[in-house]
Amino acid sequence: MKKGKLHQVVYQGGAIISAVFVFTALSLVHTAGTSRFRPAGIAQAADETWKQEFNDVCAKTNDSMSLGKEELKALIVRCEKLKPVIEGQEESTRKVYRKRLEMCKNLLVFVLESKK
Amino acid sequence: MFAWAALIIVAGLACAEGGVKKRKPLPYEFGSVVIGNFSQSAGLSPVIFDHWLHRSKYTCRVCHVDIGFGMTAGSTKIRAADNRKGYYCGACHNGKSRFDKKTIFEACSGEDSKKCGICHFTGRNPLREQDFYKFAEKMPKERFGNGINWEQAEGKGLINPIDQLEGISIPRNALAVQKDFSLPVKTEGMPEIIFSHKKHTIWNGCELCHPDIFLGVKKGATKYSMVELFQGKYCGVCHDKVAFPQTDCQRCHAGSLQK
Repeated sequence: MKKGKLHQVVYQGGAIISAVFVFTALSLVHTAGTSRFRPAGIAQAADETWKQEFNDVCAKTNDSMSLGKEELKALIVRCEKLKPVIEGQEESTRKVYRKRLEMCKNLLVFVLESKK
Repeated sequence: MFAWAALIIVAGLACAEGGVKKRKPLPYEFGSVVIGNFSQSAGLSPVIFDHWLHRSKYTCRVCHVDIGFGMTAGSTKIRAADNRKGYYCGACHNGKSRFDKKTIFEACSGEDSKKCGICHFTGRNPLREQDFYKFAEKMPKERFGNGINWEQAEGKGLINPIDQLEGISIPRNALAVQKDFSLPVKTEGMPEIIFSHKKHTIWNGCELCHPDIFLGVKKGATKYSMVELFQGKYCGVCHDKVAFPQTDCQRCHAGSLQK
């Protein structure tokens, strides 16, 4: 009887520990955008995501003359979406990418204007 | 003849506008930029940036588009912290990147204060002068600027400026070059300007000039005068400062293209 009770206590304790672990992990994932304790992997992934988007959009500048109006408009919208993300970066990154994004977007707008 | 005389007068007037005659830079000084937004407060001399050395290795586009340096002196406001994070000068000057089998020294590392003087130095540097003349003697000559015809140097393969920096530049498709065109001039008898997109895009790509420098979307839409050019606008953003001076009239006023 005593042995059965011990098993039950161990089982319940394990369940509680697992629940606490899952809850903590979910909290960290949920607050990854703002928490100072965010895991490095998540921060790195977020960093790579916007940089990848920046690269995808601005790689098109050399082809801009051959793009259609709708394609150019879509790229300009993507540039506008990137702006607040870049504004949220630390000072050096913000300064560099703000200028790079501006040059990229301005060229796309310029080419779009030339097609009107 | 009258047209050339008029151009020389305009150039003279534009140069004299400031009231003080500028000293003509020596060949190794042509294109040098003084960068000193924060140097003094850090107890350092400003940086003298040698354009000739960097343009012999990299295109203008790599530095002014991919790295993000501004087109006017002091506009970028580079901080040592930016360099340490791998931006601006630190994009290459990081103690890891290599050029010509040599490691490029690290900028603003803060570990060895003696190294600061490599860039933060405004005095005369005989070694730098020597390096310039050694490089220049193998290059095609021109009358003005730093005496090097960079267009020919690139065309003949004497220099192969790098246009992509790994980890910084975005891999792009090759640029479809727009056609050359001629621009009419206002003065009678003056040959038309032949503008070569090809010659410019090799160094600059598209976004360095459009729309920041040339806003007009149609040929001839951006109206400008020689006075404005000599004031550093339009072509004058680069020509006179780094690219060949605008006093080398025939380089642009070369005739007209067959229509």
